[in-house]
Amino acid sequence: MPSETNPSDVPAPQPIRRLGKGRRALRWIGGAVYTVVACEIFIRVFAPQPILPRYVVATSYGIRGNEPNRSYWQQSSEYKVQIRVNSKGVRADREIPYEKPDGVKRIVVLGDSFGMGYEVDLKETFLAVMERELAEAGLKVEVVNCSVSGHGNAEELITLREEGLKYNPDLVLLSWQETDYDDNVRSNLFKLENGKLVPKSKVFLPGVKVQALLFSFPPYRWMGENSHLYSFARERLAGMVKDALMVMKQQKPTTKKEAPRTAPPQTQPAAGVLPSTQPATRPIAPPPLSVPASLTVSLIEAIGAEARSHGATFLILDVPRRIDRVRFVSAFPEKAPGVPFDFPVCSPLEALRAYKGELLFWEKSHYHFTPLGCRIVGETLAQHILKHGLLEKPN
Amino acid sequence: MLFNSFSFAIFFSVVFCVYWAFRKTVRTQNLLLLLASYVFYGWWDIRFLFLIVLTTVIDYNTALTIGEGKATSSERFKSFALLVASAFFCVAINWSAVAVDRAGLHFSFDIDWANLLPLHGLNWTIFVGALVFTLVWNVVYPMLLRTDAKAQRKLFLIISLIANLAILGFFKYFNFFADSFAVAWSALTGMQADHWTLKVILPVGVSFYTFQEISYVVDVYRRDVKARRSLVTFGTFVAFFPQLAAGPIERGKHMLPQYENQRSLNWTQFKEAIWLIGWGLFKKVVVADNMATVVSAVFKPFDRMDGPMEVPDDGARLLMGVLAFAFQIYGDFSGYTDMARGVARLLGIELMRNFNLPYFAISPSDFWRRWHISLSSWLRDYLYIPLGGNRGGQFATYRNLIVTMVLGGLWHGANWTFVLWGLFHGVILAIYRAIGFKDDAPRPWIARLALGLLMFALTLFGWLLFRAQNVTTVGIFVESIFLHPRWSPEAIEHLKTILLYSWLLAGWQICQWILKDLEPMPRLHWFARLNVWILVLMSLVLFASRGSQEFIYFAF
Repeated sequence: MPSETNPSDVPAPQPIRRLGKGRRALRWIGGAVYTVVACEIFIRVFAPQPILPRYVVATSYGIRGNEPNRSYWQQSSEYKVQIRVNSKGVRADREIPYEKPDGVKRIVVLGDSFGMGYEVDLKETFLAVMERELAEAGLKVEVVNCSVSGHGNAEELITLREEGLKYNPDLVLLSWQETDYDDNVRSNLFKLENGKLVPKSKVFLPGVKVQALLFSFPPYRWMGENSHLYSFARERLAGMVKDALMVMKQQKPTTKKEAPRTAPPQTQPAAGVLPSTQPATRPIAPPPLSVPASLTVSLIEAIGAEARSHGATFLILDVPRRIDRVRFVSAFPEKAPGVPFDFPVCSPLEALRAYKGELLFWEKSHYHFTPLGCRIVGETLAQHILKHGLLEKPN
Repeated sequence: MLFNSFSFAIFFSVVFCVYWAFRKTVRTQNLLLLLASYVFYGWWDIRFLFLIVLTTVIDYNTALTIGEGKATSSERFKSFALLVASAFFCVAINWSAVAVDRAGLHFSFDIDWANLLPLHGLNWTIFVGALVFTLVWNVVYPMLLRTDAKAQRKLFLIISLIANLAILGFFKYFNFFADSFAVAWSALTGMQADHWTLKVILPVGVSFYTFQEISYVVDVYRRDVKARRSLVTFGTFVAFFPQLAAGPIERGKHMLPQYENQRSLNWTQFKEAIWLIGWGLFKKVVVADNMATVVSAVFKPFDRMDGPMEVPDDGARLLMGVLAFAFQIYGDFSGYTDMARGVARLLGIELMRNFNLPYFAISPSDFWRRWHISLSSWLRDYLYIPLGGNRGGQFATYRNLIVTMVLGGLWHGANWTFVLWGLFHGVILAIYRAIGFKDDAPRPWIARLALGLLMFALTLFGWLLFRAQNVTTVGIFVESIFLHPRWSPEAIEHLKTILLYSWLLAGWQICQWILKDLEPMPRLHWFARLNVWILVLMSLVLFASRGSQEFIYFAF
């Protein structure tokens, strides 16, 4: 049992030595430099970070685009790959003229970092795999990858109008994934007015000017491509800014209450969030789509309409959400739980599930596809395109 | 509201600024502390705020009667007005009828007026009960004052003890005894007795503030502490938010003078407080919450055990689970205490130290001088010594030790494994005493190391009893660890996790032990301090588990 003894004998504090202003300033500067170096060492030893510099610039049409003619490395403990962007801001190792060569079918791809093929070599991206598969099937195909990391469907619609259509596509492929819900709200470029999609803002360039200014200093650019600490801080800061933008740009609810509070709790997940895994036990009215989901659906419809109005077929790649190595789910919007929208969707979900347990998404980085994941997705896409004859006639 | 949450950061920032704005008026500061403490507690479940007010009012009146002869009518009026008001505000009003919705930066309040004041159910029963209690107390109270002074003191002490223990017993042990009765009844008669079991929710911190109030009333009875006439001061002593949810269980002698005198905060205190908060946060979110992943992975299959389980052939994995739990519970509880002490220090209030390198103990009595000091000293002063302590011969001493520790185990929660844990500690305390072990006898370092390792092994066994949900699990763990001590790949992964998240804590404790100083930061060279802060902050930034996890001791 405890006694009344004092836990410890604390010695008297040492007298404080006063330093001159100069020495004190030196200590502060030295301490600050040392802190940065020590933090970098700590993070490299205990929690190495993936380094994924993003080189985006403002385009003439008010949104972000890949910096033309930029070549840079992405690396983590699992891979090291080079990203090369041509003079038109397309990830490619060659120039692609707007004019379509005779006999060639063009696929214009809209998407974010998944579509752009982050964290894999160009030849291993799912688009390259798809191109090879289609070529093996006897089709002469050229893929124009207009994806930009961070884009949502709103920016993809603008990219298609301003840039993608110049390539005269035969097929517009939208690489869709879950973050598009929030990205569409955050960008504030479009809104729904009485159910119709209308432009809201002409410009969305988050942090582009600041990045351009900072990257004009070579040491800063060096840090962006080499420092684990910088990479970590940048990702955290970007996450915080994204969250703040999401809160600020979220629209005011139009209806006060969807259901009386006394109603029994809803057991079905809201449409536009996740598909239901349980069959409905009784007929229920479909819950209204959330604001991000309705906006997303309208934007996808607009992209499809834009593609079709220019004689191209339209296809959506539903990039699944990874829960863990053996579980993947689709987050694509649904009319009601289990009831799909009438969109031409290619889902690699079943194909990925067949490989469960394999490394299909990088796990020590940003969870993009690994080369194996890309191979499965690329093959699934090619099979879908061939099966439905999407490069033969408009849908 | 958890210390490791964003809402607490906002709450405390506001309290801190307003509190020091009134630094010249102690009474206003106390009133603010009381209000802040009630908001802090009501954040969890406002209904249970009524319980704190109820025990505060009872103990305020009983202590005044014991210490000062009586509570004046004005004091009674004020305290019972608070009780009735709290019954209305906390219980009668159905706060779930008030909803705050947010979409982006747009907030909207929605009040369901029809359900705000339901005229049925438990809500109004409690309110009417509070009114009746107020009436009965004030009618009966003058009659009780007519008895002789000594008997009156004893009577009001008993009233206070019964009230506190009844509240604690009902909320903490009703389910346990009702479930145990139902099982025993069913085993004996084959009949179900499920109607005995109510699912009573445990109010956060009830064990802590009840024990603190008991110590105050007993101290007043023993004339060690003067009964306080200020309801605000006493209310603050009971509900002071940094220590409300999980201690330390403070004493009136230590805390009340602090609430009555002007407080100050200088730069040195500020730096120490920030270090305590930072270090406590590190222990909680880096050490405890990450250890929880190992503990959960190892113990979960046994927690859900609903049939016979095979004894795993990789005992090392189970051992890692127990080891991780030792770090988890220490990091969690001592982390909370450090943060509580840091937050209190920022308000100019000094809380007692609750831990003193417990895993460096060389004997059970040494361990209990270092682990949860405020509880063990409470048990010593208010249970072990009143039971007779070591004054009644050897057998009586062993009996008192075991009874005290079993009750100490039961204090942690209503489960037979806590009883076993207490019994185990009682028995090893008795054994060490029986063999004449002296903690302070001179010994070579190697002997101290061996004794320390032995005590750590015993502590680990105690934690196995503490964490296991049933006795079968304990048996399986013991058999697996001792008879099948194989290192599986999972065991090695668990060991790596334990090392990654605990090396800094272990290293700092070794530093504290070598320097014989529990707060060595101010003594260190600035460059050493800078490195310590870098390690702590980088660990917090990189390794903090996602989301605010509750503290283990909130459940006790």
